[in-house]
Amino acid sequence: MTFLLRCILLLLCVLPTRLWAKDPATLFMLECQGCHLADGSGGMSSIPTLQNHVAKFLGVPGGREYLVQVPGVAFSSLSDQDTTAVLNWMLTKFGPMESIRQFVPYTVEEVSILRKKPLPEITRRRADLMLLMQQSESIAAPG
Amino acid sequence: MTSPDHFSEADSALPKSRLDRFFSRHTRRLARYTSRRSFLNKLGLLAIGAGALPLLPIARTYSAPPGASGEPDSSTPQGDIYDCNYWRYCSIDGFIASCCGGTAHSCPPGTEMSPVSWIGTCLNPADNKHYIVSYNDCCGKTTCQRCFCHRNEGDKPVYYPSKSNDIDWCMGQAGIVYNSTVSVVIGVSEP
Repeated sequence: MTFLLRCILLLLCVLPTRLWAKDPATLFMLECQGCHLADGSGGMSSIPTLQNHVAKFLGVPGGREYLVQVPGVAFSSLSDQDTTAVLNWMLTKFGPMESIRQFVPYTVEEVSILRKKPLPEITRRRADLMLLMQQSESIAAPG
Repeated sequence: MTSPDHFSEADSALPKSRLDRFFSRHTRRLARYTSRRSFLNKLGLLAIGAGALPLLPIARTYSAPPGASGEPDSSTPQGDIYDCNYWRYCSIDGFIASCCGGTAHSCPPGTEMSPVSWIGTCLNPADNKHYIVSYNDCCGKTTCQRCFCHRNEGDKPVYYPSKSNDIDWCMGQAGIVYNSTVSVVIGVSEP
């Protein structure tokens, strides 16, 4: 009986992943990779780099919100659920690792609320956050 | 000669755990019915078998050109890469690179492939799978003008830039001039 129960539990763990329409890696390919590229390096100077960079935003005040408010995320044609899955997947995939050690994954509710408040001054906001990032990095590693 | 049943008596003295009994029984059986020569025999077979493995047809899938990781199995019929109706051209809007000196997934000589692209899916009728196709433009030489192909499955207006084939994806390249387009299969889309 316990054996049967264990089998059912194991099945329950495996099943949801098969029931998803598309996994986050596939959604990233279809919706983001065209510009951000497969390795997240970004194709051109105007395309933000994800690789070893994107999760750094989580470490500065307002950065967590910013990542949902950027046009690529806020205006994506994906549902709130899929957007959340891709965002969480992307952060752990591209890191950097030290930035996601304390990472609390985004919830669907959080993404749903934030993406309805897009940023009017995206370039300035990004510049401000990058400055904060640089300052916290120079404090962490002086000299 | 000891009877094989002789050992089954010892089973009763084993721990009650199902796992322990399982391994104990099978280890004993292995010890009863195999010899050192049999081990050497099997090791020899394994060595020969491992050497012969690359000769099997399965190894051919790994010899696909780089960048074509999600290509269909080599046993499926390929189709005509010079024909606009070829399955992987389902969202193309431009000149087919195959007709311009390149292939379905490599640019003609003298041109450079744009790193950025727009990505969609196409159904391969040969195996009924939806493949994820990246439409990269070949840039740096004048427009090819051969095999113009205008199929727009899944194409969206330019205000959805990542889903529009009307955009010149050579933007930002050293050679911004558009030449032709390749259709690189980058994966399989699960249903």
